[in-house]
Amino acid sequence: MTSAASRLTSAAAPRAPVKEDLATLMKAAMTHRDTGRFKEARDIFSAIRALCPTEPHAEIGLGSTYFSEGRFEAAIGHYRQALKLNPCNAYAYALLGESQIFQAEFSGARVSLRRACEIDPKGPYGRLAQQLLRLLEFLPTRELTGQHRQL
Amino acid sequence: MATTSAIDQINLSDSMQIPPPDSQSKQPNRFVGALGKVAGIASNVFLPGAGGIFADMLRGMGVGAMGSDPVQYLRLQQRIQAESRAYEAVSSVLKAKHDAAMDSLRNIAH
Repeated sequence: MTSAASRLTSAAAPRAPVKEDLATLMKAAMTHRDTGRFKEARDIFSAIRALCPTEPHAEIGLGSTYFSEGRFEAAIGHYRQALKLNPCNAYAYALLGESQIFQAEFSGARVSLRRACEIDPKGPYGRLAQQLLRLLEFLPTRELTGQHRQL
Repeated sequence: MATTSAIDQINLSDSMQIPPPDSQSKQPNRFVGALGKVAGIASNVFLPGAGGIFADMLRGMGVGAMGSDPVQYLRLQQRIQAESRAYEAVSSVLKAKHDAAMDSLRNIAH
């Protein structure tokens, strides 16, 4: 077989996705999410989950898409699923805390955000959690009662 | 699709401990009402969306009564400072969120 034919054959053969492929798919899904094409974003994140079922990235992406849609309960479910896959994922804890703030579950949000700070005290996820904790200072300390909840 | 969250129910000024405008104070007159509208339109030209805030401040917080009551100015100042701090906090969260998302992508690629 010539080298050109060999290249063709290897190009046609299926191969396992590499990290660069996942990053490209994640970027595409995030672009869909940030431009309001939520279904397309969810489809790509679901495909990433099928490719890498043991990694938390897709669950975090799905959670962030539901968050962008204002579906905080669903977002919380995906962040919790991401934490089952990796219980030390500071990013998932920070985003879980963010969704809990928007659900007016302030005490739960504090717990999640403090956990993110513990795991990643000087990194970007810890900083995000710290900023969200600062934001919490502007909100009432009491939880909203069930009758005020819209979801 | 739900677009209203539980947090929408929160009145930020409640948690900022700003006293509500005095119910005994004078009602803003027509001039102040008109001034509020003008300020709203002008503000919307320079900062879209902010017009309503300024108009509400002038109309709702009783600019007519302020001339004779410096306490009203102090309340307005407190409210503006509290809102400014809240905006800064939200802005910092958005920046941190962007940085975290970028870092997450870098981690996947490497």
